[in-house]
Amino acid sequence: MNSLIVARKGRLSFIYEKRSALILIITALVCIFSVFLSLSMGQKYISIFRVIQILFDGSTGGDSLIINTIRLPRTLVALFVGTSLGLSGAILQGVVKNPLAAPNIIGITDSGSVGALVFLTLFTDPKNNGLTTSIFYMPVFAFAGAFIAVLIVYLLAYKKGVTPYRLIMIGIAVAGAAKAITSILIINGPVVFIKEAQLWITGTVYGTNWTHVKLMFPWFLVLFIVTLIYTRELNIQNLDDGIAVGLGSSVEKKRFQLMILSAALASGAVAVGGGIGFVGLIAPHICRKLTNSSFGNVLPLSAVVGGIIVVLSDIAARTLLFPLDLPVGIFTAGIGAPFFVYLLFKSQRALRRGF
Amino acid sequence: MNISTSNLTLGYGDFIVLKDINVTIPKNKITILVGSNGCGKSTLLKTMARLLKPISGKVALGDMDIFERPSKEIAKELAILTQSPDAPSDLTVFNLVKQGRYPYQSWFSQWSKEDEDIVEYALEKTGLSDIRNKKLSELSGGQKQRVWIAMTLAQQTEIILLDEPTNHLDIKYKIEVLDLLKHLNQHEGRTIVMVLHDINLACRYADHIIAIKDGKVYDEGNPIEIITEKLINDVFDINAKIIECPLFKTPMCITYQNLSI
Repeated sequence: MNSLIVARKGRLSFIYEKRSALILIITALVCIFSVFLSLSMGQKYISIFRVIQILFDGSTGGDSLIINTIRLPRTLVALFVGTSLGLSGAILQGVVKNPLAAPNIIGITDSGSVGALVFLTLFTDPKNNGLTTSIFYMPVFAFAGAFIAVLIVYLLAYKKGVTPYRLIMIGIAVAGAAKAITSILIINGPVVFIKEAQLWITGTVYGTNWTHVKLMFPWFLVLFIVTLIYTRELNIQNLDDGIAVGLGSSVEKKRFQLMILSAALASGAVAVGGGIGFVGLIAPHICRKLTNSSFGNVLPLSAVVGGIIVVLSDIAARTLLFPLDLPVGIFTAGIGAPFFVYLLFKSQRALRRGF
Repeated sequence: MNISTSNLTLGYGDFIVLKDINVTIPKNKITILVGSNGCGKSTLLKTMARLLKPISGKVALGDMDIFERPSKEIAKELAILTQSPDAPSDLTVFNLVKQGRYPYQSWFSQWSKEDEDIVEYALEKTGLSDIRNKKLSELSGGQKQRVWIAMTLAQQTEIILLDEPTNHLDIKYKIEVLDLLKHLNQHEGRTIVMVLHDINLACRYADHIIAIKDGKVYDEGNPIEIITEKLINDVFDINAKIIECPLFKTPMCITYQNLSI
């Protein structure tokens, strides 16, 4: 029993695995370190001590300007995009009881792209190649695209309830359809927006500012808290449906609510960061390797690990081939894909259900 | 609390599996459903556990319709273990057994003293206390099945339904699992209802057998009274000679197709 932390007071009671708590603290520290590293790296190297001084002393000057107006908002956006995608993937994998599920596999990301491209198509002025409205409305369209996709997937998969298998199959179909629409829009659209569209589809946090942070933070925070409340439900969803019903869970209702929660998180991330791939798939996997499949561990860890992945990838994206500022999506996929294969090879022994 | 069915008709879509089933599960006894493959015994069990909705008719738990009561309330009176359930193989024994407390918990009360005591009890009863931190992937088939039974025990219900709990188990583990269920029935008075393939084991462990044939209850009652050569022939479509089991004094069927092979 000593491997558990148990807290009880009156009618309140909680339980957590000691080892998982330790791992959570360590990864959180790594995450904080990555954020500081991201603030310090760039065209001009600013030492981490100087970064801390600037952040906490509120000193002004050149370095402060770089950090406060460029690097800090971009890093925070990368962080929130990563945490959202990590959480979204973890929820989805629990709901469909399949560790290969991810926001991009069931069409959330591709449909977000459709939304973004619809925006570019509607509001690009072919005469002067400029936008006729503010680029800040693009996330709204991306969000709507992603969210509508989830509703379509759910409705099409519904047949006296929704089975995880149908959800995945319909999700893949919707993702395929969304990709086709994306291609049509790119081919028929004005030449000027091809680059913009391609960047967005790959996923980038280039040029994000405090407005993005202010949009994302409350959205993420609320959903994060709701997700933690749903931890118990996810643990039940991860068992066979028969067992879940037998335990008294209203399986169908909770499945729908969790799908929406996952979609809301991914849509928020896609709206700001575009089609950043692999984070939603890989973050929960890493967390399972570090602890186990219990969602009390997987959920908070996936958020933190997702954040670390995107923040580190963004550092690589803007420094490795400097002065080129590459889309971060290249690195999450470029690092993520091989790592994923490595994980699969390493864990083949325990592959009964793919974990 | 009793489970009973009245005029229960079950099926999938237009396909009717069972028609007008009226059975009452005797309290504090072991009831075993037998019948050939596809006869609907699992369907009946799942419907009694509210996993499937009937086409018509009712399942009553006590005097209430099982589909009209909150699912969580039922989960405190009736537990079901489905056939070969699946769970992520890196969960620990403790992780999984703990889930049995779900109907009693809320977000604010995730691990009360009562939860702890009952999970301890469930682990001990099933002989899993020492391997509570092992992952499911490290367990034998028999141990795994005990983990699931421990989870249903943690649910602290008077009634436990099990769909072929000995499926895919070696003979040693079969006996181990059935002995455990018998023990729970005799020492704690739990009502146990299960589907079992092996007619001889069914005769040995059941207080009450319900034999299903062609969508109807062919016969029900104590195995000593109802198991006859005719029943085996009608229900399972195989010849049988019935003798008394030398150890348990229950009916034992020696089945054969043809005496001159």
